[in-house]
Amino acid sequence: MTWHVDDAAARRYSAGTLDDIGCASVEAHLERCDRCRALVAGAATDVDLALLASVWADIDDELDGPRPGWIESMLHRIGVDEATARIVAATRRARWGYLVAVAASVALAVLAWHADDEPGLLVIFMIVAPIGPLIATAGSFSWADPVIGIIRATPYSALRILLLRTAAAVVPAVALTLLAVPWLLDDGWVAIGWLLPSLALVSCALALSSWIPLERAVVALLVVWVIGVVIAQQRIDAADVRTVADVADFTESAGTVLQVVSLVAIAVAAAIIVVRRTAYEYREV
Amino acid sequence: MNGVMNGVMNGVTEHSISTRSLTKTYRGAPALAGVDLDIGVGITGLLGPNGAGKTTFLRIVATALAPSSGSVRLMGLDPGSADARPEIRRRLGYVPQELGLYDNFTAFDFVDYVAILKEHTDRRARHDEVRRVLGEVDLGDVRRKKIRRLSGGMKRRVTLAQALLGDPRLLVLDEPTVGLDPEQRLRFRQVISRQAEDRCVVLSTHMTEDVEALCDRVIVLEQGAITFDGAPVALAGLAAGRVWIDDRPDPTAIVSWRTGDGRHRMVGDPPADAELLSPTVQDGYLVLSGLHDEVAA
Repeated sequence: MTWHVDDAAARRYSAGTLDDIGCASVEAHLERCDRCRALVAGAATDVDLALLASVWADIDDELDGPRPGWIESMLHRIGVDEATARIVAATRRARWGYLVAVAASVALAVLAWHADDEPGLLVIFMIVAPIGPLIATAGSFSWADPVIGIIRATPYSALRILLLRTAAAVVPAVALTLLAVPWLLDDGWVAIGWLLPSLALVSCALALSSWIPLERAVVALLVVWVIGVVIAQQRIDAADVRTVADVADFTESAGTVLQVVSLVAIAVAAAIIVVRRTAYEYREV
Repeated sequence: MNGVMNGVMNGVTEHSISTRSLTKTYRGAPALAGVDLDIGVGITGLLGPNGAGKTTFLRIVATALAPSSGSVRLMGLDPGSADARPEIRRRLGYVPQELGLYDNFTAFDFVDYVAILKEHTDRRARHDEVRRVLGEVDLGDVRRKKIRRLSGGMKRRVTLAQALLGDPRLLVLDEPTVGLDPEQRLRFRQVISRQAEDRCVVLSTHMTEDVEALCDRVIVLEQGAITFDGAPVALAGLAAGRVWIDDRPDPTAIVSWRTGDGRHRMVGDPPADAELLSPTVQDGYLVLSGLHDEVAA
């Protein structure tokens, strides 16, 4: 049986003479009953009906509107606009990508902590550290976004979405590692030596994705990076380095080259992205 | 920008879609082989087997894919131009073949998200537009439900709702009725036909019934080329005098099947004394593809 507000209750509610329990019942009912809203509004003599309608429309709109998740809320708090925050946080898969990237960074910090006593672990750290942001990049767009087909036909820049989501994946991972690793490791410079190669890999993936799908670009670069590190490992073995200091020496000499190459790669990739920006908006594949 | 706007405003006499020698190749294999088409207001259906080039054509006219060569003009504008492309996309609604949705969103949230991508920046006006399009597809009552809780037909209508944002002049629908049960398909047809009063709707389908029920023009694609372009009645007409019914199946027929009353309905070259039937679009399509097979053989 459906209960409705009767005339007497409506009059007393409007006049403010209804007891607290009665008020609570009436208000709970008004949330879902247009008829009784009209009745209560009609019983009131000093209510601005236009204002009332507008308030109800606002409430309805708030109920319709999206409830931001934790990533979106966090972005709002640091001043990111609504549209950008929604685009960054939209896909669940991308969110997993960000979480994996951050979790990997924490794991790497722990690994680096132990690496102080174990040269082998330090090498593993150097292999793995740049890969987290790269994988998070792969998870940020393209195949990882089920709505990609619709997105490509909207006027919103696909390149902007790609860059926003990449930044959202890379920045927290890099920031966390930058904060944690130098603190845990004696030689901070060795620990953050991976940073430029990592950014170079991400930049190259973005640049390559103007020709081929992003996920393929990421896989190709992962293969190149692992092969490169294995070759470096063989050279370390050949040089008969045994201690952290030896590895650090090796990293310092070979690392300088790596850092310069990475910087050049970032610059070239950035140039490619700018020159080929149309290819992201109007895909040939 | 004025030039872009004028192109649209003056586009009254222009076709919504106009292609010349349109080709698309994937790793050397042609998906579209020189398609010339002019499509205007009304519902145009694309028929053809898998791999015929329907999706490739629709992706190109939805600006989601660039052609390999040839020209395409959409509402009088060139999608290859970086200036014109956003303007085309503002006037375009696209339902891709794959049912891509964010299941954890509500129907409202999802359409609101696409509205953001379609540059509806004012929050309140955007929400009003989202409510309007969800109402258009009869989903107003379930707008606050999570998409994962909606039926397959409702999910399809959510994807159609996002395509209606901004009242687009061109609607591109890639197999919009696939996977729907008969009732859902009827509802979907109803919604699509409502949209076609004053705009160009292009849809691809495997269902000849959809073409018969909805389209005022049908284009058949096979191996990236147009093999038929005309009214559904004309496509059905290809099978005039070639559909018959008999108590026994005829092995020379292109296709034959046993009907509910135990007799055999056949399409092909009937014998002289055959009991002829009125052809359907499906019959015409079968005759057309049968003819091509014969030519190929």
